[in-house]
Amino acid sequence: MKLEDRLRDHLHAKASTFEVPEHRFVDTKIVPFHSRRRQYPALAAAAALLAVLVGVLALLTDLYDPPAVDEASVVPTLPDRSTPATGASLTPTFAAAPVTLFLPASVAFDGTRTWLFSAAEPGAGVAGGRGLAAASTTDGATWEGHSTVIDSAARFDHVAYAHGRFTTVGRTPTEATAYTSVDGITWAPLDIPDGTRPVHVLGAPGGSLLLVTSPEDGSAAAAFAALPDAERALIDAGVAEFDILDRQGDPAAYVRIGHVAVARHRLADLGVAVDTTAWPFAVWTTSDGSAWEDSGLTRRVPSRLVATSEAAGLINTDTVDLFDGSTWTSYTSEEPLEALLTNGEIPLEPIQGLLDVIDGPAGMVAVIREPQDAGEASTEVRVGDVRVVIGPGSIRINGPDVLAEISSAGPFLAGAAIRLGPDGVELGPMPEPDVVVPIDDLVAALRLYAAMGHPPRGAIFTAGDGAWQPIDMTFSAGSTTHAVAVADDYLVIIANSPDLVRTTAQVASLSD
Amino acid sequence: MAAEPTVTVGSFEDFYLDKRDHLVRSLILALGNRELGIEAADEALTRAFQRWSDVQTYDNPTGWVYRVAMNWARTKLRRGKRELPSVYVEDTPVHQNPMVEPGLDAALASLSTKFRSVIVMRYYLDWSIEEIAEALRIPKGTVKSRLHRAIAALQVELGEKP
Repeated sequence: MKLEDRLRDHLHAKASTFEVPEHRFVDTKIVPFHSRRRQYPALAAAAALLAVLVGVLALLTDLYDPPAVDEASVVPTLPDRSTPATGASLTPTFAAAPVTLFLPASVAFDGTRTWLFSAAEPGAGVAGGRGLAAASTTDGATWEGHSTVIDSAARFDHVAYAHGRFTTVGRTPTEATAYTSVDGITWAPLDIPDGTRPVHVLGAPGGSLLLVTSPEDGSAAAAFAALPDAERALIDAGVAEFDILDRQGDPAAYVRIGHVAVARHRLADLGVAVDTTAWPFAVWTTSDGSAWEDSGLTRRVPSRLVATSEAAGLINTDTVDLFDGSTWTSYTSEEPLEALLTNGEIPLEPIQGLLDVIDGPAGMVAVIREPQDAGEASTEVRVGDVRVVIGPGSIRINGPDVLAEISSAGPFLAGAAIRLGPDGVELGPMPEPDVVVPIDDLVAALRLYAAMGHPPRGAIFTAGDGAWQPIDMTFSAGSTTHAVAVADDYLVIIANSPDLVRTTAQVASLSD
Repeated sequence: MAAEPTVTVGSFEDFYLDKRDHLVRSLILALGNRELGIEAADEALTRAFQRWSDVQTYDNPTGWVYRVAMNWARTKLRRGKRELPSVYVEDTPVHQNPMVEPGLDAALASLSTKFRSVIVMRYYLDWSIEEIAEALRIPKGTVKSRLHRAIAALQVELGEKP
């Protein structure tokens, strides 16, 4: 028998001995969060295809009657990204939300109402205001103010919303308290383990993620709010303890997203943390926030933790390791960035210095620092296949909330030093950039601009139907966007004025 | 054995249910490791799902998935730097599968993944030279060359050729 024939028999017989497990791809109807908007072009394309088929059938049966052109059925076409389109057919209209905001302020969308939370009284600069006030709207036009949500001397951090719960952390000079609320108005303190204090809360689709730390030994733990049992089980005493990675000598620096990365996984939420109590550092993973497993990975340097839409992982200057709930995938500087950004397989040029990867509804955003021919390093922000070169300097983006640091002496951010940190906003001289970032998602655009310290003036975005739209914000020069929420047909942006005292919220209607 | 029919339009669920098992087995054969083959298949199928509107229009979606899976696995192997147990050196239940030729296991194990992959595509998946070339995005001549060299190497390993 020829070898080729023996190979056929052998391979089929061999393959028949393999035990193939049950399907892990259990629900193929799950659509990633960031892909929802993209369903509409797909539906439009399907409708257009159906219309064509019907038309052909009608023609063949001699019943064809040229119909009037239905503009709505035309499949939208994205423009050439290299030359962003202007002249939108749909112009957002902006109006100031009739509420007074003081730093710190945040915005949350609970599925029905958009909430603005801010300090109840003004404060100066990064000191911020005190107490927590709220206003909410269902349509972006009519606002309901909630005068005193928490009457406290504490200063409140970012308010996170997840699975029916608002959560935040209030601070005084000597202590911190975690609060939770179902309706955004009535708040109650949370019990956390003795000897720990809350440091940050992050809204995650699987529940709020609360970080706590032990002031005594500096260790930190993280726990998901296992909603709807948030009040009871926000902190799981069995959670492993992890050293804070980038303490930077300042307890406030604890308040950074990234110590525990939370990802919107296609099947379940997951998290990754690094235990720096031993060397090399052990990498732990969790799928529910309470049961942690040693992944077997180790790191000799304290990697940053990142989360994308479908994975959580670690990032160093030239390496990304992503965990999708079952598998680790590694990307290095020798390998194509696009493999990471698009989950594709097209090899392009290597990464020289990958600083960060954040998740955006339009996809992942990579921040890359690449050496130039002259030996200087420029910072490049990529959104999909779009690049924005910021110039020499550095940029750091912490997602998914808008926390960013930028310093650059490049042509676009000359002399700028912008820091949106957990304790408020610190601004250096603000640039007046003239950079257009054509990306195909509004939130990602605004997040990017916010992270870059830009007012979103001149940003080009699409409302999801493929039509590129310019935003003409009316924030004063030097303002920075602080938080963004998007409902079906409107969005709310909180911006901070250059003097850090006045904070305004603006509402853009996305309706025709 | 007939080649797999080309899928150009259809739901991902149908594609997944129809192709996954065959794909997993082919990747285990090509990669030589069961867990890696399963993971690679699931990774690639997940990516196919995410891009199904495009992938389903390809001439050979299975080929695309196979290539993505192999690329993913190669990346993992490069980074892993550890020996994985090979299905070609495990105790094969020969008595249950008389068609399994023990000597071929060792011969296949000696091949690099690149050569073993074309062997699997040609003799397990029963793809044509053109289909293999399209799936790997390499010229047909390269496919023929790899097959020729792989067969020759197997013959040497089997002692059938000096």
